[in-house]
Amino acid sequence: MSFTLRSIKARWGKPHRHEWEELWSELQMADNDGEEEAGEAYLAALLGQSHIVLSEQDELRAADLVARDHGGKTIAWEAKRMVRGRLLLDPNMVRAASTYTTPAAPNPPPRIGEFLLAFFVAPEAQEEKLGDMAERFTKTWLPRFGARGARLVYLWHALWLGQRLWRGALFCAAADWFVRKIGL
Amino acid sequence: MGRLGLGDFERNVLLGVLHLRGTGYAISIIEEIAKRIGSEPSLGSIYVTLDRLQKKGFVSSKLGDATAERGGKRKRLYQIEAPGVRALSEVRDASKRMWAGAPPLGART
Repeated sequence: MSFTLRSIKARWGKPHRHEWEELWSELQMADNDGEEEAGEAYLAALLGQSHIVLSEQDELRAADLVARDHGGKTIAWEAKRMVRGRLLLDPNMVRAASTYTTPAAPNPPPRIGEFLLAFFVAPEAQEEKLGDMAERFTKTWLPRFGARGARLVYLWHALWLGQRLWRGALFCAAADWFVRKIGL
Repeated sequence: MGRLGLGDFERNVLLGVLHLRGTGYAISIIEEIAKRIGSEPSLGSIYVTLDRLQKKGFVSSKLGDATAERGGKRKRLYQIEAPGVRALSEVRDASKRMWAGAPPLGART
């Protein structure tokens, strides 16, 4: 018996709580081939560990699943430990016991914000200003506002730094509109 | 801002540069001001002020080291210059003269 994400999804979708035990026992039946661990990884994904990303065609074999890198996201040993044993039968307990919140890669500043900054700031000042914003993003905004909030704050500051440019553009647009309106 | 050529915010930024002894860059100056005053100025206002102070000749700058948390980009380090020290000294003296002989703030005149 072998599992793929597609076959598990087709059969179980997102299992209800009372179905966990049945799924678990079925996965245990495949234990000898090491497929149980693959199933565990998938279960961890179902339990909200959304950073475990596999393509649906991937055949789940424990040996290469655990340490293989999938698009920059690695299934780590912690995930295996976390979903081992009886904890798996209770999704709430798994969540409570999760130590798996550290993302595989640190949050980078938003690309669009960096693009705006590069657009607004003079070339000779770009290096230090992009660096300052990146440092502020990592050290201050991320811990204070979370990933999404920090990105918004970054964008706000990028726009603020370019205010002279877009204010000028707005003024020109308003002047143009006014001249057209009065028919000069 | 008057004859001394130094506004309140400019004075705070210049004092931040002075306290950091040549190792100050925009972020550390913000942190220094926040630590001493309690309110955190925005990055934009710090950049504008540092530019203005540099044009006046109160501070000079040079590019420093890069760090990983800055995405490998270098810092611009600011150092106070003699005209800046002079301006700060004048501001402090003027402030002292204004306070000299003033009644206690709680007292009614």
